[in-house]
Order: sequence, then structure tokens, then C-alpha cells
Amino acid sequence: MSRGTFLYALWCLGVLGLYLAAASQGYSPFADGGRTAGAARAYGPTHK
Amino acid sequence: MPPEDSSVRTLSCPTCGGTIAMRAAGYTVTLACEYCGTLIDATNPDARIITRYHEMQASLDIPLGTRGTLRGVEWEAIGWLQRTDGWAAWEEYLLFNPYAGYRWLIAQNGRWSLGTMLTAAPQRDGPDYIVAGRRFSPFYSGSTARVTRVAGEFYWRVKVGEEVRATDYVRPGFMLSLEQDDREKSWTVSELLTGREICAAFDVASPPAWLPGMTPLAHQPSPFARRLKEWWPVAALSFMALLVLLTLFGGTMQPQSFSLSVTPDGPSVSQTFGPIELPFGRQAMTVQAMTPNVDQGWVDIDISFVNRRTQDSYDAYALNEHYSGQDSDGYWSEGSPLQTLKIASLPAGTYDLVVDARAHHWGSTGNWGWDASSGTYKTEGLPPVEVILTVARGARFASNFWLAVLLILSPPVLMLILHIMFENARLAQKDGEPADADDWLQGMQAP
Repeated sequence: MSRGTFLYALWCLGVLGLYLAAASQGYSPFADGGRTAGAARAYGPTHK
Repeated sequence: MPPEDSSVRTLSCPTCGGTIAMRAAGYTVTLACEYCGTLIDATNPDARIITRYHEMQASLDIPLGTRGTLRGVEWEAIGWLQRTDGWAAWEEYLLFNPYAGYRWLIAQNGRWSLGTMLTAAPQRDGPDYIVAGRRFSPFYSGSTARVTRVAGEFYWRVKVGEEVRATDYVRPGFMLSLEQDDREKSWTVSELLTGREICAAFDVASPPAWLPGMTPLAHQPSPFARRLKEWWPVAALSFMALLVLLTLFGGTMQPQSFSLSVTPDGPSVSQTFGPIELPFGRQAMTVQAMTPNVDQGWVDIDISFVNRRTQDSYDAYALNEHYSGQDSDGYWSEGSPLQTLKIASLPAGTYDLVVDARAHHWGSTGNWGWDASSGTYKTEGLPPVEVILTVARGARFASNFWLAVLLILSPPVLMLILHIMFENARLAQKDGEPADADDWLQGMQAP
């Protein structure tokens, strides 16, 4: 295994670790919470 | 400093008087003075001058007389010449070993190749040539290589300005060159040397790493192809591991349902449900907000998980709407009466779910009133909208999954882009059609 491949495998392990940490803490940067304050709301049909 | 060798013959340059060593005595036909560049006929006992030059010898990366071991054979650099085809210039060192004969060490753009002259013409197969089971594809033809500078000794009468017609065939890591003039044809296979090999043999500078904008050699293998081939299995394995983690951690549990009714175009309804227990750590919550009978209108649903002890509030918002109608294209509808909200990382504790909901009818006059019999507000002709909330512990964040996939795939995709850029730059020198996907795949071949 070359050094580049080893580093890439390490990168993948890091990503998997972060995913595992986020999953165990119920965290997501894209969660819905906190969208109420100042959120722009558009109503009505958009059908033309 | 070149090593001393008792078998080396010396003679004086008739022009500058410099002492010139003849290292392949008996084979050498032409000798170029390494101090003044004068060409001397080595077969003449009086060392007759063939051509006199008064330009200073270039300082060579490998001083003539230097010995180095390549592929298990000790070679001595005995001659050097510089050539150009009008587009690119390169240097060729003639290597000599009394038992192994001659080889060429070719330097271009800081990269080195070891050339071996073939003693028989290669086998032709369509437009390609085959040498020792290796297939070489046409790269460019019809160029004229001209000698521009020369030093050292050679086995033929080389002179500045000498020209040959050159045709090149390549495969990753190798080049097959045909050089011909009016008298003879010669075939040479050159193999690209690794930086480690050439540095260990002749202590020259390491080849520069390829960067976008640089022109690779015609036979230079893509430095990204090997990484790509090694990285894809790692990426596939990581993807599988991600799928497993998504399955293990993506479930919801202990759902609780709550409902309330909202009058279209009536006042906002606020209601508190609970308790909702989160026993440990931090957990995500999934809330499904369903309004089964919303039609031609919308419902604003603001929810808050309020911690009973700390009064910390975690908010989210859903907009359920549904519209439909008929036009010249027929029936249409848009919107959804079901929204799913995911709230991240709620600390352990006991929570109340506070819901504020307000319904509206599209185009309604807002003619609503208090119905004492049911104890609710009602809009004339419009039934109340039922809001059903299902709250469950846990959430499956697809966004986390796809973000992780993106991070895992980014390096191989970057390598793929660099590989394509490299192959495009390499193949831009080739005769014929511009590079396409087939060429990029061919560039993935192992040398």
C-alpha cells in the first residue's frame, strides 16, 4: 500500500468516525431545528 | 568527479589542447572535445579535426566519464548530444559498458528514460507495433530531430546539424522510436525511469511533479492512475461501512401522537403536549406533521420542544399545503399534507411539545365565527383542519450520509479530474483526434 493510499484510507476512517459521532449524538448540520426565527415563508400555489 | 580508469585512452584536443579521454576505444568513431566542442575523428591516428566549434561546453547534469549502475549494469556516460524537433529540446547521453554495449539515457523536462536500440525491426500489427509482447500505439510522426550540440565520443560520425526523421509509438512508461535517414533505420525502445532509479544511479535532480499547465512526456504514465486504481476499493469499502452505520443509527422509536384542530382563516391555536422523555445523552427527534384534510390552503405549524427543567426551547417549523385545480392541460395539484421535521441533538430531559398552528384558505373571505356547540371557531362552509403530530426519538439524517459520501468520494474524483487533465495535456501532442474517454481509460494501464 502506497503512502497516498494509506493517507486516503485514514481520511475515510476519519469521515466514518465523524459520521458515527454525529449519528450517536443525533447531530446534523442540516437539521430542521431553529428554522422559525426570521424564516421567509411563501404561501399559495405556484401553478401557472 | 569521474572515476579514474587505466583502460581509458587520452589524446589532446588539436584546437584547445585539452586532454580528452576516449572511454570506448576501438568502438568510438567521433570524439567531441568536452572543453571547446571541437569534433575529432577518433579513427585517425593524428586525431584530425572534423569541425571546430568555439562555443563553451554546456555544464552537463551527468559529467562525461561518470559511472552509475542502472538495472544491475554499471554504465559510463561517454557522449552527450542535444537535439530538437523544432517544438521540444532534449538531451541524450550515450552510456557504455564493455560487456553490455551501448544505451541511451534521454532527458527531457527533467525526466529520464533509458533507451535500448533494437537489433531487429519490431512486429507490426495494424497501426501498432509489438516489442517483447508490449503493444505500442502511434503517437507522432513526421518530425525531424536535429542535433544542436554535442560532446564526448560516439560510435558514428555525429555532427551538429545532423537530422533524422523520427516517428514515435508509445505505451504508458515506454516509447518506441524509429529514426531514419537516407541510409538507415534504427529502432529504439526507451523506458521511463523513476526518480529514485536515476537519482541513485547518477545523482541528478529528482524529476518535477506534474502540475496542471505542464506538458507531460508522450510516454509518461499518469501519476494519478495508480492512486485511482488503489483508492476505488477503499472508497467502496467505506461506502458499505456508511450504509451499515446508516442502518444501525437511523431508526426511530417510541412514537407518540398528538392532534389538534385549526379553523381555516381563524385565530392561531396554541397547545402543549407532553411529557416527552429523553432518557440519556443527546438524541435527535423526528416529528411528522400531517394535515389530512387541508385543501386549497395551508397550515403554519410551529413546534417547540421545551425542557421542563431548564426551559430551553428547540424550535422547528412545518408548512403543510395542498392546492389543486383544472386548466387546459387537465387536473393539477401541488403541495403535501405531510411534512417531516428532524430536530438535532436534544439533551436528555423531560420536554413539553408546544405547538402553534394557524390554517388559511387560498382565496377565502375569512368569514369565520365562534361555534358555541363545538366550542371552536369555524369558517363558513369550511371544515376545521386536523393537525396530527407524531413524535419519535431518533432520526435518519440522509444529509449526513450524503455529506459523508461526498467527503469520501472527493479525493478519488479529484484524482480522476487530474488524471483526465494529465491525459489531455499528454495527448494534445499526439497526431489525430483529440483525447476522449477511451484514451483516458488507456492511460490507466499499468506501465
